[in-house]
Amino acid sequence: MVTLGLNQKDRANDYLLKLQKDNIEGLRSIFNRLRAVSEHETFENKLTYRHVGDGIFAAIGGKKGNKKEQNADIKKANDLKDQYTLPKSKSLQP
Amino acid sequence: MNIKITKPQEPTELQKAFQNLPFDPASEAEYQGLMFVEEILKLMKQQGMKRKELAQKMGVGPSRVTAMLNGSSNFKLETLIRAAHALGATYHQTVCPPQMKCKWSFYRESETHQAFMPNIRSVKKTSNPIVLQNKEPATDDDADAA
Repeated sequence: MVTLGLNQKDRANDYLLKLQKDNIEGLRSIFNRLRAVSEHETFENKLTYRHVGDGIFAAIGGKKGNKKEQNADIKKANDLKDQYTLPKSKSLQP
Repeated sequence: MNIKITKPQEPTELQKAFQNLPFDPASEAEYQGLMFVEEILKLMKQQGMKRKELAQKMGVGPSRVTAMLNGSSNFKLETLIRAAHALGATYHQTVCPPQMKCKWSFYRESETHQAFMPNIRSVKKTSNPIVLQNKEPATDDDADAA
Protein backbone atom coordinates (compact mmCIF):
# COMPACT_ATOMS: atom_id res chain seq x y z
CA MET A 1 0.00 0.00 0.00
CA VAL A 2 1.23 3.48 -0.80
CA THR A 3 -0.08 6.90 0.11
CA LEU A 4 -0.05 9.99 -2.07
CA GLY A 5 1.88 12.97 -0.78
CA LEU A 6 1.38 16.53 -1.94
CA ASN A 7 3.68 19.53 -1.54
CA GLN A 8 6.19 17.63 0.58
CA LYS A 9 3.42 16.57 2.94
CA ASP A 10 1.97 13.09 3.18
CA ARG A 11 -1.20 13.72 5.14
CA ALA A 12 -2.65 10.24 4.59
CA ASN A 13 0.53 8.59 5.84
CA ASP A 14 0.65 10.90 8.87
CA TYR A 15 -3.03 10.30 9.63
CA LEU A 16 -2.69 6.51 9.48
CA LEU A 17 0.41 6.52 11.69
CA LYS A 18 -1.42 8.73 14.18
CA LEU A 19 -4.31 6.25 14.14
CA GLN A 20 -1.86 3.50 15.04
CA LYS A 21 -1.11 5.34 18.29
CA ASP A 22 -4.53 6.84 19.08
CA ASN A 23 -7.11 4.49 17.59
CA ILE A 24 -5.88 1.03 16.64
CA GLU A 25 -9.47 -0.10 15.94
CA GLY A 26 -9.80 2.67 13.36
CA LEU A 27 -6.57 1.58 11.69
CA ARG A 28 -7.83 -2.00 11.64
CA SER A 29 -11.08 -0.92 9.98
CA ILE A 30 -9.22 0.93 7.24
CA PHE A 31 -6.86 -2.01 6.79
CA ASN A 32 -9.82 -4.38 6.43
CA ARG A 33 -11.42 -2.19 3.79
CA LEU A 34 -8.20 -1.90 1.79
CA ARG A 35 -7.60 -5.64 2.12
CA ALA A 36 -11.12 -6.49 0.92
CA VAL A 37 -10.82 -4.15 -2.08
CA SER A 38 -7.40 -5.50 -3.03
CA GLU A 39 -8.78 -9.03 -3.27
CA HIS A 40 -11.37 -8.19 -5.93
CA GLU A 41 -10.93 -6.99 -9.50
CA THR A 42 -14.16 -5.03 -9.31
CA PHE A 43 -16.04 -4.01 -6.24
CA GLU A 44 -19.82 -3.77 -5.92
CA ASN A 45 -20.13 -2.59 -2.35
CA LYS A 46 -21.37 0.97 -2.89
CA LEU A 47 -22.62 1.18 0.69
CA THR A 48 -19.21 0.82 2.28
CA TYR A 49 -17.25 2.42 -0.57
CA ARG A 50 -18.90 5.60 -1.84
CA HIS A 51 -17.56 7.20 -5.02
CA VAL A 52 -16.86 10.84 -4.19
CA GLY A 53 -15.60 11.77 -7.64
CA ASP A 54 -12.47 11.67 -9.74
CA GLY A 55 -11.76 8.03 -9.02
CA ILE A 56 -11.73 8.61 -5.28
CA PHE A 57 -13.72 6.43 -2.91
CA ALA A 58 -14.63 7.16 0.67
CA ALA A 59 -14.82 4.15 2.96
CA ILE A 60 -17.92 4.38 5.11
CA GLY A 61 -18.37 2.75 8.47
CA GLY A 62 -15.96 1.57 11.10
CA LYS A 63 -15.89 2.48 14.75
CA LYS A 64 -16.13 6.17 15.46
CA GLY A 65 -16.12 8.53 18.40
CA ASN A 66 -19.09 10.73 19.21
CA LYS A 67 -21.14 12.56 16.59
CA LYS A 68 -19.24 15.83 17.02
CA GLU A 69 -15.88 14.13 16.49
CA GLN A 70 -17.30 12.22 13.55
CA ASN A 71 -18.57 15.37 11.81
CA ALA A 72 -15.25 17.12 12.43
CA ASP A 73 -13.40 14.15 10.91
CA ILE A 74 -15.71 14.09 7.88
CA LYS A 75 -15.12 17.82 7.30
CA LYS A 76 -11.37 17.34 7.68
CA ALA A 77 -11.44 14.43 5.23
CA ASN A 78 -13.42 16.47 2.69
CA ASP A 79 -10.95 19.35 3.00
CA LEU A 80 -8.07 16.95 2.44
CA LYS A 81 -9.82 15.42 -0.56
CA ASP A 82 -10.23 18.90 -2.07
CA GLN A 83 -6.55 19.61 -1.53
CA TYR A 84 -5.75 16.63 -3.73
CA THR A 85 -8.46 16.92 -6.35
CA LEU A 86 -8.52 20.68 -7.03
CA PRO A 87 -4.90 20.95 -8.29
CA LYS A 88 -5.49 17.82 -10.36
CA SER A 89 -8.67 19.16 -11.99
CA LYS A 90 -6.95 22.53 -12.68
CA SER A 91 -4.00 20.79 -14.30
CA LEU A 92 -6.37 18.91 -16.61
CA GLN A 93 -8.07 22.11 -17.85
CA PRO A 94 -7.01 23.18 -21.38
CA MET B 1 1.19 19.63 -11.44
CA ASN B 2 4.35 17.52 -11.37
CA ILE B 3 3.98 14.11 -9.83
CA LYS B 4 7.05 12.25 -8.71
CA ILE B 5 6.59 8.67 -7.60
CA THR B 6 9.29 7.18 -5.44
CA LYS B 7 9.34 3.58 -4.29
CA PRO B 8 10.96 3.04 -0.91
CA GLN B 9 13.60 0.31 -0.80
CA GLU B 10 12.63 -0.87 2.67
CA PRO B 11 9.16 -1.30 4.21
CA THR B 12 7.84 2.06 5.32
CA GLU B 13 6.67 2.76 8.84
CA LEU B 14 3.10 2.54 7.58
CA GLN B 15 3.62 -0.82 5.89
CA LYS B 16 5.15 -2.12 9.11
CA ALA B 17 2.17 -0.76 11.04
CA PHE B 18 -0.23 -2.77 8.84
CA GLN B 19 1.95 -5.90 8.88
CA ASN B 20 2.28 -5.84 12.65
CA LEU B 21 -1.38 -5.34 13.53
CA PRO B 22 -2.09 -7.92 16.25
CA PHE B 23 -4.84 -10.43 15.53
CA ASP B 24 -8.27 -9.27 16.62
CA PRO B 25 -11.33 -11.55 16.17
CA ALA B 26 -13.78 -8.64 15.83
CA SER B 27 -11.65 -7.07 13.13
CA GLU B 28 -11.31 -10.39 11.28
CA ALA B 29 -15.10 -10.79 11.46
CA GLU B 30 -15.48 -7.33 9.93
CA TYR B 31 -13.17 -8.29 7.07
CA GLN B 32 -14.94 -11.61 6.47
CA GLY B 33 -18.25 -9.71 6.50
CA LEU B 34 -16.99 -7.34 3.80
CA MET B 35 -15.92 -10.30 1.69
CA PHE B 36 -19.27 -12.05 2.15
CA VAL B 37 -21.26 -8.91 1.29
CA GLU B 38 -19.22 -8.49 -1.88
CA GLU B 39 -20.07 -12.02 -3.00
CA ILE B 40 -23.76 -11.44 -2.30
CA LEU B 41 -23.77 -8.09 -4.13
CA LYS B 42 -22.11 -9.66 -7.17
CA LEU B 43 -24.72 -12.40 -7.34
CA MET B 44 -27.50 -9.84 -6.85
CA LYS B 45 -26.11 -7.82 -9.76
CA GLN B 46 -25.79 -10.90 -11.99
CA GLN B 47 -29.39 -11.87 -11.27
CA GLY B 48 -30.80 -8.33 -11.29
CA MET B 49 -32.14 -8.87 -7.80
CA LYS B 50 -32.99 -5.86 -5.65
CA ARG B 51 -32.66 -5.66 -1.89
CA LYS B 52 -36.42 -5.85 -1.38
CA GLU B 53 -36.65 -9.11 -3.32
CA LEU B 54 -33.66 -10.54 -1.47
CA ALA B 55 -35.33 -9.67 1.82
CA GLN B 56 -38.53 -11.43 0.73
CA LYS B 57 -36.64 -14.54 -0.33
CA MET B 58 -34.64 -14.54 2.88
CA GLY B 59 -37.84 -14.16 4.89
CA VAL B 60 -36.62 -11.04 6.68
CA GLY B 61 -37.47 -7.34 6.57
CA PRO B 62 -35.68 -4.97 4.13
CA SER B 63 -33.98 -3.20 7.05
CA ARG B 64 -32.27 -6.46 8.01
CA VAL B 65 -30.89 -6.79 4.49
CA THR B 66 -29.68 -3.19 4.52
CA ALA B 67 -28.00 -3.79 7.88
CA MET B 68 -26.39 -6.91 6.46
CA LEU B 69 -25.14 -5.20 3.32
CA ASN B 70 -23.69 -2.16 5.05
CA GLY B 71 -21.94 -4.35 7.59
CA SER B 72 -23.63 -2.77 10.60
CA SER B 73 -24.72 -6.09 12.03
CA ASN B 74 -22.75 -9.10 13.15
CA PHE B 75 -23.84 -11.96 10.90
CA LYS B 76 -25.43 -15.06 12.29
CA LEU B 77 -24.51 -18.23 10.45
CA GLU B 78 -28.18 -18.74 9.62
CA THR B 79 -28.33 -15.28 7.99
CA LEU B 80 -25.39 -16.15 5.74
CA ILE B 81 -27.06 -19.39 4.71
CA ARG B 82 -30.40 -17.67 4.10
CA ALA B 83 -28.77 -14.98 1.95
CA ALA B 84 -26.89 -17.50 -0.19
CA HIS B 85 -29.97 -19.71 -0.54
CA ALA B 86 -32.14 -16.73 -1.56
CA LEU B 87 -29.79 -16.26 -4.51
CA GLY B 88 -29.91 -19.94 -5.45
CA ALA B 89 -26.36 -20.35 -4.13
CA THR B 90 -24.90 -22.43 -1.34
CA TYR B 91 -22.90 -21.24 1.63
CA HIS B 92 -19.57 -22.87 2.41
CA GLN B 93 -17.00 -22.30 5.07
CA THR B 94 -13.77 -23.88 6.14
CA VAL B 95 -11.04 -23.67 8.74
CA CYS B 96 -7.59 -23.28 7.31
CA PRO B 97 -4.94 -25.32 9.19
CA PRO B 98 -1.82 -23.59 10.57
CA GLN B 99 0.87 -22.64 8.01
CA MET B 100 -1.57 -23.27 5.15
CA LYS B 101 -3.23 -20.87 2.72
CA CYS B 102 -6.76 -21.39 1.50
CA LYS B 103 -8.40 -20.42 -1.79
CA TRP B 104 -11.83 -21.33 -3.11
CA SER B 105 -12.47 -22.43 -6.66
CA PHE B 106 -15.85 -22.71 -8.34
CA TYR B 107 -16.45 -25.27 -11.07
CA ARG B 108 -19.33 -26.97 -12.88
CA GLU B 109 -19.37 -30.67 -12.21
CA SER B 110 -20.78 -31.36 -15.68
CA GLU B 111 -17.84 -29.59 -17.33
CA THR B 112 -15.01 -30.95 -15.22
CA HIS B 113 -13.34 -34.34 -15.49
CA GLN B 114 -13.27 -36.22 -12.21
CA ALA B 115 -9.47 -36.28 -12.22
CA PHE B 116 -9.39 -32.47 -12.10
CA MET B 117 -12.03 -31.93 -9.46
CA PRO B 118 -10.80 -30.30 -6.27
CA ASN B 119 -11.09 -33.11 -3.78
CA ILE B 120 -8.33 -32.46 -1.29
CA ARG B 121 -10.37 -33.43 1.74
CA SER B 122 -10.75 -37.01 0.57
CA VAL B 123 -6.98 -37.54 0.16
CA LYS B 124 -5.89 -39.99 2.83
CA LYS B 125 -2.52 -40.22 4.46
CA THR B 126 -0.60 -43.14 3.01
CA SER B 127 1.68 -45.35 5.02
CA ASN B 128 4.46 -44.61 2.53
CA PRO B 129 4.32 -40.90 1.83
CA ILE B 130 6.52 -39.51 -0.90
CA VAL B 131 9.25 -37.38 0.63
CA LEU B 132 10.85 -34.72 -1.52
CA GLN B 133 14.45 -33.99 -0.66
CA ASN B 134 16.94 -31.49 -1.95
CA LYS B 135 19.57 -33.66 -3.57
CA GLU B 136 22.21 -33.02 -6.19
CA PRO B 137 20.71 -32.76 -9.68
CA ALA B 138 20.63 -36.05 -11.56
CA THR B 139 23.42 -36.63 -14.07
CA ASP B 140 23.67 -38.76 -17.22
CA ASP B 141 25.60 -41.33 -15.17
CA ASP B 142 22.61 -41.71 -12.86
CA ALA B 143 20.41 -42.37 -15.86
CA ASP B 144 22.82 -45.00 -17.19
CA ALA B 145 22.99 -46.70 -13.80
CA ALA B 146 19.20 -46.85 -13.68
